[in-house]
Amino acid sequence: MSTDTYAYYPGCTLHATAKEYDVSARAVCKKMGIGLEEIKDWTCCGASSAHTTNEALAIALPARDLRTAEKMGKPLAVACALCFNRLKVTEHELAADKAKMDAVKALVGSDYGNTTEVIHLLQILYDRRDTMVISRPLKGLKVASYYGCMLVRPHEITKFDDPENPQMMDKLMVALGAQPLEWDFKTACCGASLPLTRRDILLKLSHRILTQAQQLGADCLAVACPMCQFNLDMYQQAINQKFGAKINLPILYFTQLAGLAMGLSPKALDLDKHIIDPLPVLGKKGLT
Amino acid sequence: MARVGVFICHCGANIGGTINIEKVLEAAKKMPLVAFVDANKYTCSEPGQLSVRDAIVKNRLNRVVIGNCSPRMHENTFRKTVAQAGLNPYLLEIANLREHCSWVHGNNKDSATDKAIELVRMAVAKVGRDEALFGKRFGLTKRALVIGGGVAGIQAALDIANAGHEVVLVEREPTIGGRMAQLDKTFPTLDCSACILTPKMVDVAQHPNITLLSYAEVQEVKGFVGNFEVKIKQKARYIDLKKCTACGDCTKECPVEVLSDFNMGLGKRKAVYIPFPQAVPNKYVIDKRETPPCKTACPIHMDVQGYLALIATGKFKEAYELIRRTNTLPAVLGRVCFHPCEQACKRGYVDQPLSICSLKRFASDQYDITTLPIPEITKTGKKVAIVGAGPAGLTAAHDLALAGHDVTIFEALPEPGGMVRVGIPEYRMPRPELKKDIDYIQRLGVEIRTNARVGEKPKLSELQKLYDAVLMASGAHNSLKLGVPGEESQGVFHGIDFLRAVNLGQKVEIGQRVAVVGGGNTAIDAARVARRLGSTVTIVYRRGRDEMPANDVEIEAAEAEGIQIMLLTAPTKVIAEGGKVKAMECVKMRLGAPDASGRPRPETIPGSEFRLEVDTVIPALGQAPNLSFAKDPEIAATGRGTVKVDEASLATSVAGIFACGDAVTGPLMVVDAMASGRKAAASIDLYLKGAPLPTTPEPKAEAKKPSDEEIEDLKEQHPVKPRVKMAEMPVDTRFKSTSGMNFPEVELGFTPEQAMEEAKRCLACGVCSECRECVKLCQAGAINHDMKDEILDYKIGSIVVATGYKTSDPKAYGEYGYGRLPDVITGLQMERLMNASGPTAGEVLRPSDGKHPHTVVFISCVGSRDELKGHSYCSKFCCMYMAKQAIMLKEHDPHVQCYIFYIDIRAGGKDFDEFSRRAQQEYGTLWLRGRVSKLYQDGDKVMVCGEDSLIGRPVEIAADMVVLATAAEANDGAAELAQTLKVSYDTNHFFIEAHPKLRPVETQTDGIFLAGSCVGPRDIPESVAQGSAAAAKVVGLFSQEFLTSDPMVSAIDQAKCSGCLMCQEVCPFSAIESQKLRDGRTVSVVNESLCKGCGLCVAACRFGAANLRGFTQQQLLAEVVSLWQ
Amino acid sequence: MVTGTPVTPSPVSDLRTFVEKQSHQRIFDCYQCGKCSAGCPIDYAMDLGPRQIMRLIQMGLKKEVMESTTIWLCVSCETCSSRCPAKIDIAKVMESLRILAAAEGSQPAEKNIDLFHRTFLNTIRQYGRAHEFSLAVAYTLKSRNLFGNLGAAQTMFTKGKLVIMPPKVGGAAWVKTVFSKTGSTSPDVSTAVKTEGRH
Repeated sequence: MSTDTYAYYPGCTLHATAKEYDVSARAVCKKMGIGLEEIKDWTCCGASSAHTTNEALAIALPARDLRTAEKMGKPLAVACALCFNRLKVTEHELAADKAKMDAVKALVGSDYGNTTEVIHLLQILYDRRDTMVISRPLKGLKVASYYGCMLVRPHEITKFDDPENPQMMDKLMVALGAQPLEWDFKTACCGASLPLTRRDILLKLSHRILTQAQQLGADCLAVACPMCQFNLDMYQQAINQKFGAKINLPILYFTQLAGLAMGLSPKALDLDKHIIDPLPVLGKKGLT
Repeated sequence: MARVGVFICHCGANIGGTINIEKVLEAAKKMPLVAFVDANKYTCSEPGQLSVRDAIVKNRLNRVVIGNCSPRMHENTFRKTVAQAGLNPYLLEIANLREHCSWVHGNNKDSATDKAIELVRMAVAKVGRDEALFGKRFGLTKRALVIGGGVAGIQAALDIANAGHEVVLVEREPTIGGRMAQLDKTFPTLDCSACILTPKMVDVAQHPNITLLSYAEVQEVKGFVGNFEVKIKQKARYIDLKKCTACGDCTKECPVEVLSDFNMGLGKRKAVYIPFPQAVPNKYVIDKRETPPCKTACPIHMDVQGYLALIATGKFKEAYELIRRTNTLPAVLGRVCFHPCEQACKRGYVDQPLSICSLKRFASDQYDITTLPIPEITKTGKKVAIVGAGPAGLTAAHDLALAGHDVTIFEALPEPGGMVRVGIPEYRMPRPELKKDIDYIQRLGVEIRTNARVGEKPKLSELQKLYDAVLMASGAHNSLKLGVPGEESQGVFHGIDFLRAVNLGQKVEIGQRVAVVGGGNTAIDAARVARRLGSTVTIVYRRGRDEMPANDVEIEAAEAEGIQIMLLTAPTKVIAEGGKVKAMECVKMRLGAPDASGRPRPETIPGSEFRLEVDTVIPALGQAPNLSFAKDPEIAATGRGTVKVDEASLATSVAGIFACGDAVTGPLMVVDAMASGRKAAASIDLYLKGAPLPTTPEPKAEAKKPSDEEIEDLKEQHPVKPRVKMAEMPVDTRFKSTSGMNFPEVELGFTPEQAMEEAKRCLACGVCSECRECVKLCQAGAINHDMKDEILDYKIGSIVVATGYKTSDPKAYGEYGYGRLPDVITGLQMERLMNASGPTAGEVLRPSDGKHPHTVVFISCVGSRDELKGHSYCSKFCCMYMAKQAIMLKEHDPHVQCYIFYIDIRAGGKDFDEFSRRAQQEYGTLWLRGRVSKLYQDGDKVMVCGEDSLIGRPVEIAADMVVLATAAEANDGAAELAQTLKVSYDTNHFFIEAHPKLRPVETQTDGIFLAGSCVGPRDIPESVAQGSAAAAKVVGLFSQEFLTSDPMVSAIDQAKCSGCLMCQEVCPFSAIESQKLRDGRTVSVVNESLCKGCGLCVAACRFGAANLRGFTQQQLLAEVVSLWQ
Repeated sequence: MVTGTPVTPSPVSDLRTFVEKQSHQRIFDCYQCGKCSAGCPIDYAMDLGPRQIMRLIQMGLKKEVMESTTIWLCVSCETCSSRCPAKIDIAKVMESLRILAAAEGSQPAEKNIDLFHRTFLNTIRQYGRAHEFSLAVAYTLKSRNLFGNLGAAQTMFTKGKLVIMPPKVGGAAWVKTVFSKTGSTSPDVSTAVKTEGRH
């Protein structure tokens, strides 16, 4: 926990399906006096598609954004867990393999030194959780922290928390006055990039996660990954239909909950952008 | 003239198949000094050795080179061979043609042959320079040390003892038996583990040749084979083994409960306990850890944890009696103590410290002190005079009276109690409570003369004449002055004088608007008293809130009572009209750089003067002693105006006169004064006995702050539970005087329920709370809480290491949720659940809800065969005990269905495989081939996600209980012990055998042997066999009257030695000593029995004085040179 | 399970060589404990589990590996890798197999997933960033799965989350060149489409 301005890499989805993540992230950081400078002309990290077909491409794409951040001389704050994962992998591969590094230099610029520190927004907030000014503690809100895969795995590369039972988001929730749930699906897979191709799988996996959270009496899930948010939120009705379930769990970004606790208005946090409307449950707890 | 014979061994095809032996022989013939060459199919065979012997004799050979396998294999064999032919065994060289040549160069025969020739050439060159060497003989102590009282150690000890030798068996735990004692049944015979082990344990206890040291650890091992010197730490057991009858009465009233380690954390045990009914020795033990921080921090070291534990269990009377052991004024300290114990309390790092002070008060509130018995006192006839009846004087009087001396206290004031009586207001320290404590001291025979101001009447000199010793405990009652103009005006009362007057019931005329100057407790007291006298009060303090010395509670209380606090303000003058106070001029301050006291130095802000309209000013800036009475005889004083004393004994400059409390130190806290009084009493008692006084002051014990990790653990283990709030008198009613008291007490004390609830918050840092209830109950008088660890010295001839194993911590596997999912347990925990002496008396009930489990899943290799989260090795016996537990569970309850996830069933051993299959054939256990990847809680079930790799499909089982077959790991401290013994250990901290096949129970260090799982996972039969094997080695060693040392050790040429002692520093076996020669030079000398011939000293010696016999520089050089000849 | 005529194992195979080189994983470290398959969230939907893929590579049975749905269904959640007691990054092995498939242009057993990835990359190639709308449209048309995604699109639209206009990014040109330089020319989706009816 050093600098207070970061180079900021939102990632493609945060400009579209995960708009509310971007909005809430910026709002919260502003409130906490953390500067986010969106890096210029950033391009896609290649997501899960590049590295499944073309390794060189999968490395080159993130490297360009890493270089831009390097030039800014600031650590790179990343919101999307998938981008975070790809950027970390790139950083790792380039450090490990000189040949790759040379190849990449040829593509992104010979001055690139692979020195950018990549840090996820959750880490940034977590490190500052004791200095947050909580004006609206999330009293009595039962939150199931859901980390997904991309933040915590592969651990030796992302170096993020405990891959089997991570705690950061839970401890952040405690700092926000909420009540995190002890559960076993924090890092179970939601179906990832399969929504368009093999939705049957996605529904099955997400269904198991959601029912677990529901059984434990969660009021909502907290997430740090747009892909997870999309899958769990967008397909909840489909899940209910397919499995005859009655699940109604808002899927909120940890930034939105943090903003709420810091007294920001639901509007300022785009809480109306969700398929499963969080306002009723938040209202019940007097948090709107 | 050297005549060398060269013998090349084919070693079947091992060497001959690769190396052209003929060529080697041809080449050897031509080598200098070589008189004879020959080859053999198997030189190590009997005919082989015979031919070597004959050749030596026939050809008058006096040096021999043998080209064969590694010297580690057969050097000794051939040493004997040449010896039988009449040669010195050290005139032999081995050329390693197998491991160093044929085996590694099988793919290139020609160069292999060339290399072989070079190897032989080098050996020949060296052997030409070899000298005859002779080992030294030395005697041995025929007493064995066995480290570890598990089944292997027990077996070794019994076998050695039965052979007629003495054995010292050292066991770290309070009982022997090791892991086997924890097991329920044993595979594959299903014998009851205890039934077959306990007889052996009893044999150990009763064997005349065995000295059993349980609860002890090896601390240091010096010396060498036959002559080890061993230091063993006997940990204090706090129970006298000779007296304890194991009746178990001591546990009845023990208030402390902790998780039972013998039951692997399932179920609880008391702080005084016996691990299991058949323990050997069959004696209890008291589990005492660190001294609790509260006790350390307390100036009079009260047994805080003890009386808390007693209060928690409703034993209020006992609690008070325990408090009395160290505390002469409980009612006082229960109210006005500044309780350093609470600052040190570890619970404070979790949420809030315990209300120790208030709980002490509670205990004294519950007790009618008039019923407190007077102990038997034997009079000494000595008389002591004490000046001052404050806490220091009273405590000293109390202790001296108990020691049998006649004590008289001279008190200048009309009432005893000192500052507690006249300095502390009644709403904090009710008089009747103080009187109770003082009355008891008087009942002990102490006479208190009030209104007796020493110095006036009587004089100090008179006391000196009339009494055998005098103690000055006159306190510090002189107020410090403000030092501003107008201070002498009417309406200025100094804090302590003001309080004294009020507290003695004198009429004090103060005005309507009062300013109190100062930030200490006296200032707050004065302010709150003035408030009670009906004035509006302002406290003026020159520093900030954080710098105020007064207790926060007090400050808050003052504010609650409507007292205004003006910070960063200092008086500059008292403005009077007609001699009466009209106002006080003040100036604003700011905080500057820290001063000597470390607090920021206040600086005046120029021109910020203002006028505070008041009619009364009470400066409360602190007090100083008044030593005017100590002029005759003249008692030396310090520059600070306090009595000058000897730190250690508190003796003053005049013999027979001592001093303590505020008079010595300046204003102190009550409890500090009492500690000082106690110390003085001890010195005086010695003085009166004519014993020498202490000369070195005992070091001040500091309660150390726990490490961050420890704090994290504490937070993990203890959920937040804030302290119980004590009822207080509502503010509005505080100022009316009630029955007998001008000002009623504000704090109303705990109710019994509150007190017990609060006391239960104690974390029991010391485990044993030293409440001493067990002492009362033990008929045999076996308990001694003051026992100390002891160091025992033994002369030992040979050592058997049998330290066994522990099971790995499955917390490394987050995916299995051990510790989070209550019904996921380890195999060893299951043993305890199935065991009749276990936490559930042998009824298998699952931890979460105590129900009988019906579906039980076993997971193998948790920590084994896992490079990622565990060990690479297989733990060997898990497959078998999983099968055993599956069988036993079915025996216990026919409704049980067991599943065992395995990777490979390791069932090598007599009747093992049949047994593992029986689990399926007869008990319906389903073996599933695959590793489980995830466990999760689903309702009251534990969901098990695995794969059956035989059908290649995922498997999900809803289990009632899951058993993790955790890995067997080297025991804690194995590596440290290996270092102490100077034997080698591997990366897993298992001990390394001298040879994995041929010397399985030996180490590279002579006289030290290994048995059981300290070498690697072993099951019971193997461990027992190894115990016996190690015993055989020891007995073999002891069958000799003398031992001969290996002559291949280093030697120092004293002529060349410069005495730099570099060799001494590098020697890992401390085999080099320094010696002074007659010519005054210091030189190094090698202790040949310690030297292992490693050669480090040779490398370190810059002067070529050190040489390794059998590997001298000349010999090595000859080898090298031979290569280019 | 693999069924059919007896197989002849070839422990030294091009397949294994390629995979080990590409993924930097040691295939023979695997001792078939099955923790990967046990933990794989998608194992149930695969024709072969990850453990079986590892086994088939050890035996050099390339056809079975390359025709498996496994390598396409794997979403690189890394659960297997993070728990493998032999420290093998199995997800990376799967990745290398997809790369091999792409290099050889072999028929993907899960054509839609392959198609999706290609289409996704295509949008990046075009705009420099992912653009969900054009991705969804392109994919929907090519996969002939017209109705499957309409519902989602609608809701997204009403929530104002669906950005119709593709992004304009300075880096777009650079991305195009990188695509060509790294040998990913315009993704050929036709192969994927033609293979309809396999299954």
